[in-house]
Amino acid sequence: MLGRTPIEAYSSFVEPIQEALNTITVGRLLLARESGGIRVDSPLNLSLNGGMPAPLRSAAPGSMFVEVNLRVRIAALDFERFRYQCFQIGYWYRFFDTDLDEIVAFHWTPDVSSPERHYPHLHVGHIVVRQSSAFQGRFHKLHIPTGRISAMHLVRLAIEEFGVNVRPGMDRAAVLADLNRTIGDA
Amino acid sequence: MTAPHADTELDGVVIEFVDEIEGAKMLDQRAREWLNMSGEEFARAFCAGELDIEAPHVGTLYFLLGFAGIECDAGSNTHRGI
Repeated sequence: MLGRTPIEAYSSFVEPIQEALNTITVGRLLLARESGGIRVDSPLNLSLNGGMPAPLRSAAPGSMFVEVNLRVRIAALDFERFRYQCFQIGYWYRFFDTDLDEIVAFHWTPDVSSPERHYPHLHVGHIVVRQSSAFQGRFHKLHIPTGRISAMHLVRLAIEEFGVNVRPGMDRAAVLADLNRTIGDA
Repeated sequence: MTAPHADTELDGVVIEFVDEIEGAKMLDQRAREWLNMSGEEFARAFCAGELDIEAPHVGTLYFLLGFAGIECDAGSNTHRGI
């Protein structure tokens, strides 16, 4: 997302995420407040509820939860009009069932120096695959490659595939059409 | 992980800014609750490569380090303000 100033680029990145999450859940989207203002070329963290799973608006209240954590960076550009760009540099997204067992997790942590895969991937939750004989109970540990996932992808997945309700007063089809336009892959 | 509760004060998703003092408290609280260690102990152990990011709660806590102004740098944790 582009902006004339670092804060404008940051806001143009964060506001669509807030808007998208607002359609399926309630909570506090926490942004790290930097002393001295928003820094260019320094990681910035965003987290819904500080890592605590947030309830999704489903037909059965409390039946699914989502965890949303991401890191972004603002870079300076050479363009005359838009001098800054804010983009995602990592994320940790998870969906849980009513017992807080993980259903699916999307990970991308390229900055972490560990044996963790550095490319974007997903894990299918143990609760989902436990009855499968494939990989002898290890399937949930497999790193299944993905493209980079945005918060908007998560929200679309929740609505379109998991059957999560949209906020009362919103039109499901219109929300999905907006998400498709924003994501740009449909 | 303790069961989260719906924040009944809220009607949607609101944005809140968290300064480094509040962020350090949040990290410490979560690390004590989930891993029985302080936020500082978590930061040191994680940045030293002693914790598997895919172990329960570790990845989530990693994403809270930045709220406390902490970044891992070449095997140690550094405070951005320093």
